[in-house]
Amino acid sequence: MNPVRNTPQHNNSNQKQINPNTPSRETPRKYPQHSTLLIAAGGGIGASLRWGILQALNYPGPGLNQPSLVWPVILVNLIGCVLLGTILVKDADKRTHLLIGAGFCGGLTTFSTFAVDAAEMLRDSHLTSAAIYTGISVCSGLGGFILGRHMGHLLAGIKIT
Amino acid sequence: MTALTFIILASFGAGIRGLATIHWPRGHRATFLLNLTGAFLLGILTGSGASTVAISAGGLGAMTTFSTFAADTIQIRNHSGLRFAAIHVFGTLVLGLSVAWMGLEITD
Repeated sequence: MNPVRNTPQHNNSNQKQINPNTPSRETPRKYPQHSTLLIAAGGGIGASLRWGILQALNYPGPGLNQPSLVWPVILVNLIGCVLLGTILVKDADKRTHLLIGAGFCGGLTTFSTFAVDAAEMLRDSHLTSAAIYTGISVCSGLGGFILGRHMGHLLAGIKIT
Repeated sequence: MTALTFIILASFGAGIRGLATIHWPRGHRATFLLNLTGAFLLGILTGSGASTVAISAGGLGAMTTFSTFAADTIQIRNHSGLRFAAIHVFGTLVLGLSVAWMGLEITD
């Protein structure tokens, strides 16, 4: 028993002495290599798709203060939140999380457009519109994310506890 | 040409967000600050009328995010409780709309 248990320890200590130039052995990286590039690539694609969807649904652009026309922004944010919830649960792969989660979903959804539109409504004293827009955005975002996680559990075949 | 500029700026914006969330001790602070920064800058650009699609929808749109905000909120709720999650949501909303308003006021 003892020699068998000691062998891997010897191997480990030898490896550390042979490869002193690989710090990843001592301190495992929390994020894989090229994480930023993965997020940038996913973000570029996600943002392009967002613009495509907003154009197709006749979104007039931020700050034009037409409260009835902001629903496409709610829609893309909802889609992104559902997808992020699903990906985070369904896929264990960190690279998938970065590329599709932080990258694609992060690029597909946007906070700046939402904030400027809501602030524009407040400025023009459309208090009810601003409150409804903010409320629906947050509730659909959080609800969508939770829904996405349940979907991820179902897709991964894990029972929801 | 506009499409190319759009993709480059969007990737750049998402890349900044990636760098910040990865190197910040707790990722949700980076997301929070970048969302506020993006809302403020988009407010300035929109107010001035000088905003282009590539910068506003591409760069700033990709730099800010709603999905990670939602994910962070749920994670904060699970780790620190409902109170901190509520602070995160209302903090982001109140400050985000305030700085967007400030940006609009500066240039409009």
